Amino acid sequence: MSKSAMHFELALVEAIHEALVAGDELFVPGLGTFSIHHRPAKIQMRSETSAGDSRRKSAAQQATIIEPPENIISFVAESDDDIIPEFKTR
Amino acid sequence: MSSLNSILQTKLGLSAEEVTDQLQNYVDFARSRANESTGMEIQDLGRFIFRDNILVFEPEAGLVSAVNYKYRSLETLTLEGGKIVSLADEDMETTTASTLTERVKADDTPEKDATAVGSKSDTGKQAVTEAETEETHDKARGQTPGEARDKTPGEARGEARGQTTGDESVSKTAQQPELVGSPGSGSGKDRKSVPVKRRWTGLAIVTVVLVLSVMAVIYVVSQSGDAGPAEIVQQSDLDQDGIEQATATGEGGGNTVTDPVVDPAANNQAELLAENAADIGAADVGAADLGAADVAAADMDANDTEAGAPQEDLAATAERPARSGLSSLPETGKVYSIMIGSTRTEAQANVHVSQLPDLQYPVIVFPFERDGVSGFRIGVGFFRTIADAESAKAFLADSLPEGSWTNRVQ
Repeated sequence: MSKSAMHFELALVEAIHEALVAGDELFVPGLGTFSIHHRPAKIQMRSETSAGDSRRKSAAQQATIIEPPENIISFVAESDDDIIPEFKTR
Repeated sequence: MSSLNSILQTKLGLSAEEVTDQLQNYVDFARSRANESTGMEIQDLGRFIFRDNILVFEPEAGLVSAVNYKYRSLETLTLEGGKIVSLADEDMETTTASTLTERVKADDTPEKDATAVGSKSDTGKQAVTEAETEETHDKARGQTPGEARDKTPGEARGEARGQTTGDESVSKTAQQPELVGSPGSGSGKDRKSVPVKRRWTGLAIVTVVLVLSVMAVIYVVSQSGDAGPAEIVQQSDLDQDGIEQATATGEGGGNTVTDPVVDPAANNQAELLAENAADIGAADVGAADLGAADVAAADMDANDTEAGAPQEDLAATAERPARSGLSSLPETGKVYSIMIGSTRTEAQANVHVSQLPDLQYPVIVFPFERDGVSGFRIGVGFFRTIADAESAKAFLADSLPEGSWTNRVQ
């Protein structure tokens, strides 16, 4: 890769970084569209039998799992708009 | 939102056509590389690779972390059978809120009063509000006993994430979810879970306190170390004014003088007599208050009241080595100097100084103000005691102008 191409790549990477951190969508002609999908925090409940003291033995224990929100980077290739090639970071 | 072309124009300083050409070339290159087995790896961005003829993008961890900078301090929490509901975002899904509310209502244990959810559940409203989010989150992290306390936040987060993403059952990270203790009573591990906002707030407060302390120290040091001539003059003027108000036994000697208008030399002599009375042993001057308008000298006998007596003694002490003074003005302590004159302007004072013979003592010119009249005084030598100053004055009697007097300059 030539120097000018490397220089161009750096500028492109920087532009994509800035857009995604700002939550903006960025279309790269020939490649596709970068965007951010926000996934809100989640609460999950899970039941289990208690092994605790007698006071709680009769009641089923439930575990609460709280997941913080997350921004997920999405990329949709330009030529494959009919398919969703979204890649999630997790 | 600006287009990529315009952004790149700004960053690279190229024209729109040049950017378009370079972008086209780069995209062609990237797509060709993405067709290879390893894909097109772009540093600080990620990897493009074709999978099933679909171009996919795998972001680098650094990019993922950058876009999630707002949630960096939040952790996945696992609470067993608890009533604590933690929200970390305004978009929190509340699909399970009603379930939690029911659980809180059913639980009669006293701990429920400590939860933020309990009070809300009684109203039948949404279990958790945004305002309670952070606080409740903190409580959950800081108060969950058991295994959760034995893990660092990072471990707990990793464990929880690994289990949730793998669609496996969540292991127990906390055996007793009820609130115990206070949120702030945690150990060092608990402190790790303090939100970044609060950490920064605390840090900011500490920084401000430190800066103020440093400024205060600098101010004090500058005030004490920068005792310029003006301050010295003020002090000396105060002293001298006090002496002048107090009167003195001037050269005329005799009995107690109560006339407040005397010349500076006489004033100074009175001060000398008062302060050196004990050392000299010639006079028992009751100068209880030099700032007052009289000097109590009731017990003075005829010999003692003569100004000549102490002067004779002082003259005797003039036999001491002449170099008893200080080479420079010390920062602290009493300092006396021999005043040889006053001028209206500093230039005049400097002229007088230049005409002085070599006195082998430092000469100082400093401004003073008295009765609304300002001027400059010329002092010779710095002495710790009046006796030393008088000794030097006697020694330099031939070199100093007539009427020179000793005065305290600090």
